[in-house]
Amino acid sequence: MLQVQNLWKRFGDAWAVEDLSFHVNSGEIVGLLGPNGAGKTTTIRCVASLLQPTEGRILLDGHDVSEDPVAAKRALAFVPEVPNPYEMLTVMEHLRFVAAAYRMEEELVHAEAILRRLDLWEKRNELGVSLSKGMRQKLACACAFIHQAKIFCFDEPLIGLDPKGMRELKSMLMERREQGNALLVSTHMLDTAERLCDRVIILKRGKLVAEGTVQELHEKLSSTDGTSLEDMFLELTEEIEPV
Amino acid sequence: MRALALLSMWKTRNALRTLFTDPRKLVPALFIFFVILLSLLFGTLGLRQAPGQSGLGESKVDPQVFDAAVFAAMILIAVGSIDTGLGDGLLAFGMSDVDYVFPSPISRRVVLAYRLPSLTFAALFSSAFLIYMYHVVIRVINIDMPNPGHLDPPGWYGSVGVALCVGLYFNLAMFLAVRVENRRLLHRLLIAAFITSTVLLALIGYMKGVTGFVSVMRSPILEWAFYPGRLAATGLVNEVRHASDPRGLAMLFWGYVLSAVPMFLTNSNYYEQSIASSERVAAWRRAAKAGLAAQQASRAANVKYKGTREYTVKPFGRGPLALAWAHLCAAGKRPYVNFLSPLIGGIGCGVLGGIGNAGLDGVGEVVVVLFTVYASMGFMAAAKTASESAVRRRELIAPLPIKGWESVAANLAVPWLSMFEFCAFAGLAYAVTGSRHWPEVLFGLAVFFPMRLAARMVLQYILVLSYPDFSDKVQQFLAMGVYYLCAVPFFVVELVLAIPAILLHSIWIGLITLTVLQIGFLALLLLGAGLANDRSVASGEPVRLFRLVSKRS
Repeated sequence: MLQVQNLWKRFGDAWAVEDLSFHVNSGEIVGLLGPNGAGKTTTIRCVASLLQPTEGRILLDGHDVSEDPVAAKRALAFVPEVPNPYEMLTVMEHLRFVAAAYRMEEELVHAEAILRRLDLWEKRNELGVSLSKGMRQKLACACAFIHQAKIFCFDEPLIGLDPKGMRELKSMLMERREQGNALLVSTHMLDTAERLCDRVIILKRGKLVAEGTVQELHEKLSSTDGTSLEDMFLELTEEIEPV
Repeated sequence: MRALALLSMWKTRNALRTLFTDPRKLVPALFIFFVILLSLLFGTLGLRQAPGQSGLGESKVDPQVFDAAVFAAMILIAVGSIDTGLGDGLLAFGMSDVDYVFPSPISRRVVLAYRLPSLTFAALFSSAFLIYMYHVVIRVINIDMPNPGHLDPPGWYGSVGVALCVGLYFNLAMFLAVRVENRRLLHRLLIAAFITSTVLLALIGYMKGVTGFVSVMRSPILEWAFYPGRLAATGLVNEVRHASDPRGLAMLFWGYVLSAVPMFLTNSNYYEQSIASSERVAAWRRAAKAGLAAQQASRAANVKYKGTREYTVKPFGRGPLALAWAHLCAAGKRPYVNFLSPLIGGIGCGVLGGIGNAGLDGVGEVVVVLFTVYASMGFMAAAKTASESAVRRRELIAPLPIKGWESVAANLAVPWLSMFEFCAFAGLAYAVTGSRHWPEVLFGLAVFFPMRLAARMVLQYILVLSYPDFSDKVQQFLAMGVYYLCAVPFFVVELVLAIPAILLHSIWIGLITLTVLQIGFLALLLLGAGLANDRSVASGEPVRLFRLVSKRS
């Protein structure tokens, strides 16, 4: 469903992503993990066609994001790390705009259910400017769920959410997985990633250092079953400073 | 297209609804509206002439010189418009657009079309201002070029021509913004070419006079290179030549329409460049809302140094001296702005005064005083920035064992030093030229004026402490008004104490009396500001630089 093939991305003289390849299948949640500056957001932004890859291909539902970005993006729902809602648009108008942009106005019948699950129904007529950080995050997620996307890309979706919101969002992600969608989730919350994701991709300085299920990582690192993803993550990404 | 039309409509409707339901939000809008209205009103009244009166008299302007001047102005506008495409302005979308429009399946061309109305509005607004200024100038110098047998063109011809010309160059600028990846390099090349051309033109003008300038402006290369500007200039000149050129206007119209074509033909992925511009502009806007200090910090954060610099400076002094030293170290990272330019400016000011006196006796002192007063506005702005920064980092400084007034003095150390540097070097340079009254000018500039300005900076500091919500523009307007109100009594006292000197015709008595007075004011205000500083409620964000100071203590 989502294929990243030999992705390279350079900013000035620095390589943010180097020769990254991975895929996300239908009915799968893949966690994109890595320390700060590992290239997670750059990768997700390339997938969302916000950044132009220096080299490599990204296919969304079979469409190349560089060659046919409109068709590719029709299959994609993207939630940025820090969503900035339109200050002068109400919550409901955000959903209407997104539905109109994806030409899926008929999906607005689900708006009430989505907003109620995310505790936004009472705020449906409030302007974006009056929403708290958590509410902004929930609004961005609601906008992502309103159209029938096949691929979901979330950049740190759980940051700023209250415990109830986190739980609800996780359950919505799992529902989408059951419906056969492909989900790519970048996160720093390793315990959540361990429970939620079918596979994880670990990046370090723009390079892929490990990929697979938690069990596969155990086998690769020859660690015991009691070793957590956090331990493995730290082992894979640890920097040993020269003395 | 429909989605973006709905988006624009909802945004406008909700913005208007909010504006009219919250009268406080109308205050800045009304203020700007009245300023523009009053400017237009006074400008228009100034242009009205009584019957039989002919302004400053009939100006006999050579039509060719006038035409060349208008064309030169249009070239300036063209270069300026194109350069906007090489900066952040044209590609900067709102961060909400970046998050909601860019990832959506809306074609990049449609997103560009969504940008076009604001471009058109900018073109219309800029040209309306230019047209207004043009009419003010031609009426003030009363230019008229009788042209028997010709008919006056319709009044809107010239204005529409300029609007189309500016719009055309904005479209080209947008094309460049979308298409060119290394915009910074192109911007530098354009500026370098422009400066070189200006220098060459000045050289030709110097060597051959006005005829040289006119012949350059009439050269076919220049006319073809800036053909839309040439057509717009002809349209404007025709207004005073009483001639009509509908063909030129038609060409400009088609040129405007065609200039949008390359912009929409290209399917470049400009989102990446746009995101970088949008993020920079968003950071700058956030900072602008938070006051001058944050604005300057945001600008400085975008400056990339090619080399590496050693930022850690060893601590020096204790208590307030350590704080002042930390401020000086921070200011030392921008040595040109903080220390070198006041020095060069001061020397330039003093030398200019000396040259002025050599030309016409008595002009020099006026020049020096006027320049110093003008520069003082910049130093007051720098002091305001320093005061705002101090308010933001009060949470860090307040626990330190430093007295309030000492803290205020340390916080204002840099603007004081820059201002003193300018004034002292202006006075010294003037003295070196040996112009008349140099001892008085030297004393006035090096002693009296810095003391006076230092006292005013402390007064401003108190006002910044009193109105610390820098994002509230209404509060900031109020603070500005209150500052001027508070300054009035000080000015009245200065005026009263200057009376004996005026009666005795003694500059020295006046200078010494007023300097002693300023010392008193400064001490009084420092104590007051210290108390205000101690009592004020901490707000704002901490600044890392001052951890150095807190660790020492």
